[in-house]
Amino acid sequence: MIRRVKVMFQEVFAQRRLLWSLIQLDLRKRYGASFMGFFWSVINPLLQILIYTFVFGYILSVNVGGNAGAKNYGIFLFAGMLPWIAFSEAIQKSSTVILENKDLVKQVRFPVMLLPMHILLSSFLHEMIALAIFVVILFIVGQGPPLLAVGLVALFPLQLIFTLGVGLIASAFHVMYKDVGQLVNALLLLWFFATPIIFPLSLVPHWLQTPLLANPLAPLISAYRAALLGNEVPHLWAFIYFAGFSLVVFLIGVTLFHRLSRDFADLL
Amino acid sequence: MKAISVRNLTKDYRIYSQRGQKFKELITLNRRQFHEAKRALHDISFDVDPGECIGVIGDNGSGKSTLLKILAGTTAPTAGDIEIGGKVSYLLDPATGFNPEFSGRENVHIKCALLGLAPPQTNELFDVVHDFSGLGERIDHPMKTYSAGMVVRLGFAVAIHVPFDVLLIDEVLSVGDYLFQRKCVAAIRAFKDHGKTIMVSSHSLSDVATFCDRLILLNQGKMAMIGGTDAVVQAYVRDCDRRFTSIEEARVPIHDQALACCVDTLGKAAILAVHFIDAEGKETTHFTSGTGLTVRVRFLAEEEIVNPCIRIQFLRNDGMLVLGSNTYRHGIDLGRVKGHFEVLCHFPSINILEGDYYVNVGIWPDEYQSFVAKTPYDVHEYRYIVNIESERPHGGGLVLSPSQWTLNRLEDFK
Repeated sequence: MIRRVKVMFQEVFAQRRLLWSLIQLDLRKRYGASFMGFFWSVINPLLQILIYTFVFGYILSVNVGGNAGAKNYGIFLFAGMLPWIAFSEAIQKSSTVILENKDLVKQVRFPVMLLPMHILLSSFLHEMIALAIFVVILFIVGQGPPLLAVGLVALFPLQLIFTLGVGLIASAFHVMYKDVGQLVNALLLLWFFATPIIFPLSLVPHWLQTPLLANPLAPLISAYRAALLGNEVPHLWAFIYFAGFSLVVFLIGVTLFHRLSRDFADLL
Repeated sequence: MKAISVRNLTKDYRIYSQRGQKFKELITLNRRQFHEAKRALHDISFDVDPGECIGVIGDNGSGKSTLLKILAGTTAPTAGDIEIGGKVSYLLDPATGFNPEFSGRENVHIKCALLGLAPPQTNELFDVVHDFSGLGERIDHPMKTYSAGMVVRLGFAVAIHVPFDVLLIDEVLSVGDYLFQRKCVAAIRAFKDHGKTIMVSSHSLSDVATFCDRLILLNQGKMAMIGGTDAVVQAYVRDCDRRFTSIEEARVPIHDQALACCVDTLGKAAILAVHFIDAEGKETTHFTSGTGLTVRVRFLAEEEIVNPCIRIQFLRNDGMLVLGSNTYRHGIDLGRVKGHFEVLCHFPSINILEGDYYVNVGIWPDEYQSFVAKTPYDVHEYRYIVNIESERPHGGGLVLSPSQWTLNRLEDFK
């Protein structure tokens, strides 16, 4: 299994230029396709954050700790949305990426793994842009991120392999079973509310906290908040849990994708 | 070192005809198989030398594209070995890797990246590709404004300018305009001279005959023939002719079906057996044009009948009467017959060309009735089939009529 992962990385490394071209292509489709491409790609998540902030921060006045209020809630939400949007977008797009590029898979010889991978990296780049915007906002509201924010960089590899693992599983199964597309959407919706993104874990009834913490994304989101907002740093065990979970999902994803991708050209 | 070496290549496609079959395989962890296997290629072996141009021909669905896809590496073989000496370039579907929203120029860069080229290499190639494609200033227009032929031209231009040792082309040559086709043929010839190996699949026999040294003929996934271009084209054309004129068991031409099943007979006499005998006196249904053929009809006259007319007809697979003969036309008076008889009708030279033919045999009260009244003593229609084979010098069409050719120079022709 380790050898397979090594082979995979070698393949991808050998084709890194193609990977980069695919990412550029995706970014251009995202930002360049319509008149105000970049604007739309930012405005939609921003609008989502503003609406949630209005509903939960202002109308429902959810207490996220610190000085309660819409401003705090907005920032609290934004920090959680950053990794979530990158994750969910990557999963959603990787689940359909093989089918969308079926001519390529059938007619051109290249490591098919590049397709979900370029989606992952393109979503990640997009998150980095959003992160930069967020840091600017933090300075504007006079709540510059603590020095710990630099530690976020250490978390990125884990976030990437976890997302890649889930993405590979989704994309491989979607080729075999078209229903997976719908299933992924349903699961992501469920996952969104099962992750402390729009609410802090402290507001969750005690009996629900442990099951929610089993969600591997929970430590990730908490870590983002700790790094960007100076919230409480999650326990070391949470990190170990997330790292272990990511590694397992990643290995399953790579193995499964590797196995099934041999038949992609015939099944499409 | 061979340019392409294929050994015992077999490819099965899995056919899932029902929903849920794939899922059943998943939950049984592939221990049980629920799909049907469709064999697209069956035990193919061949070698291609460097500098050779080899064509693949065959009917639709005979496995041409599958073979090229496997050689290009986009789909994996089920069994067998493939070795390719050198770098491969391929053009399986010209539009692949092109994005309609982007300009031709950008698409060339994308496609080159897909084919494994670094940006500096692409920049070097770009002018040649652009020039070859003949797109001119349209290269900077979005690809969605291109005609189908223009897309092919650009795809082809990229595929042949990417450095390669082996080039695989699937069925695209005849799409471009005439000028472009000539350019392609010239380019392919030039590649051959430089020791590059080219493999093309095509339906256009004239295309492959123009520049292929050898051909592979595929028939339902099997290698029917490999050899010199002329020999394989001839074999394939002949095979198509044969199938076009062949008769499948129990297939009676539609417009004669009603007629064939509703013939009233007078009784009195019955055809017992019909045999076909070749020049050596052997019973067979296979004959060669221009050789002897005898039809032997055995019949029983239960009551005494007077001078019946015995008629034999050869009909093409579509029911057209090709050849007919009867005892009245030949002035033969059979007299009063009662009991068992056999009549022999001998054709010293059966002058009809390749195909399957129905043979109708009938015993009629007289010739006139055989045309109009349709009430024979007995008749066997569309019951016998003979197969006739021809050789090339026999000519084409339906009728064998020996011909001689002469060439005269016209010195002072005005």
